[in-house]
Amino acid sequence: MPHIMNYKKINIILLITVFYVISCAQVSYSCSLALHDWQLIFFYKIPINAPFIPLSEISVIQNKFSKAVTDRILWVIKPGILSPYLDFIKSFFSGWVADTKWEIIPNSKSVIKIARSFSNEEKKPLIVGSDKNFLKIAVFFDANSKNNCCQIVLAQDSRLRCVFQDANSPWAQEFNMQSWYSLIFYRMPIPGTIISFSTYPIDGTRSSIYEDHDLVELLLSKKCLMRRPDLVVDPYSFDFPDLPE
Amino acid sequence: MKIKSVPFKFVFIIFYYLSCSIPISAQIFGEADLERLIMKHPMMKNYDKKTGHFKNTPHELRNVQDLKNENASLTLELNNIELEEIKRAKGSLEADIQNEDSFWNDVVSDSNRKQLLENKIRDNKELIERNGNPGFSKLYPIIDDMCNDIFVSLYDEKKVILNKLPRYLLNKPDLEGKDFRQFWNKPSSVILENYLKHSYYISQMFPSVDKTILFQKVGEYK
Repeated sequence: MPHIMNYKKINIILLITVFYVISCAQVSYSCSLALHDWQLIFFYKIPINAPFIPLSEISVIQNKFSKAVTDRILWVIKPGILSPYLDFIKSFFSGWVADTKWEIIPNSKSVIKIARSFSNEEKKPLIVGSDKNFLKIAVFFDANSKNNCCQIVLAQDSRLRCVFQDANSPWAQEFNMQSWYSLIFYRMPIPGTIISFSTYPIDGTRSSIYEDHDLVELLLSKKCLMRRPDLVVDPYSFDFPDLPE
Repeated sequence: MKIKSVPFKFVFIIFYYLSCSIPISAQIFGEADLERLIMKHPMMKNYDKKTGHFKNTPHELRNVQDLKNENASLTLELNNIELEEIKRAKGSLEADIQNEDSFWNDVVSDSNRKQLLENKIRDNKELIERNGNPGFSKLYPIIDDMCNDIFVSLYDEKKVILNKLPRYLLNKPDLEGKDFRQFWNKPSSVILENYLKHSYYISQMFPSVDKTILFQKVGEYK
């Protein structure tokens, strides 16, 4: 008997779910309090020599190796303007990958050939190659705030080829990764109107570096932003719509 | 004759006035029988009323032992791919490989296969924990697709669609002792917790659930 009652309940829930999904059919992206309807108004894609910040590289290695497997990471890239500041950039991160010594190797040879050149060394380095790098710049306006709330996204696409010459289980993998930085502000990107600054991936997930909840509350109370309904709690709807290829 | 013709003229004038004025002064309404449209949808052929699940979809009820057997087989396949990956990486690092592009194509192909297998194993494990019941996360995409199909068939930007639903009354749930308003008389977290436990029933407490529902136009989210 309890089973039959459950099935009746499920049928009713199915019907209510249909109503609910129809009533919420419009795709919206929300922050923790406000509901945004991001409209892409500007998009530009530029090929770049090297990634600005090795977020994807750090994330991929940490995901594969939870503990330190080497004391050297060789980053095979076309050296770019930020290359000299790699150690400074790494100082913002934690974990064994960031603590390990990174060396920039110009991509004159393939990662496999570079890895093979260390065959006779006792301690083998981890080789990470980044190529096919593109920078995507996108600007979104929030239609729910009469286009006063704006989001600027810097997304970085890269192809990563990683090789580690472990004696027992050598590893060679390829990943197509995207990292991004997002700045959300109200009208002007100046102190006092910045709502949030976030980035992806840090430890494999989106990380919020700065959030001004008081500003969001103020804008919501003045009806400058649309309040997020309690029922809209999709955890994947926090960021921005997919960027064009 | 004259006496009878007066009301006829009167009714005719009112009708004429209304028929002329409605399109100018009022919103245009359409109507839809959502229940009939749902039942007509091809996906409903898979719907099992007894269990409340869609057969041949990720929402299907599964046998736990079948899931365990499937996972054992998938894990074996995954291990074989990993062994193949190690063998390939070892080969490429020990001697020159003829075609590096082909090597990386194989790496990507195996990586994609592994990803699919890992996802399947993870989904099956979740299902085993739920005794084979996939839950609502698998129901939403199906409902979403159905709603989109129904929406497309109904969409008319000039009309507000009125729904005829349902044809039967839902029994009001017994909420005695679960009403959050008791909290004002006796502020106790137990009352709020009890209220939240029954939020499913409470969500059905819209007073007009058995009446016509007026859908808002797209973009007017309040």
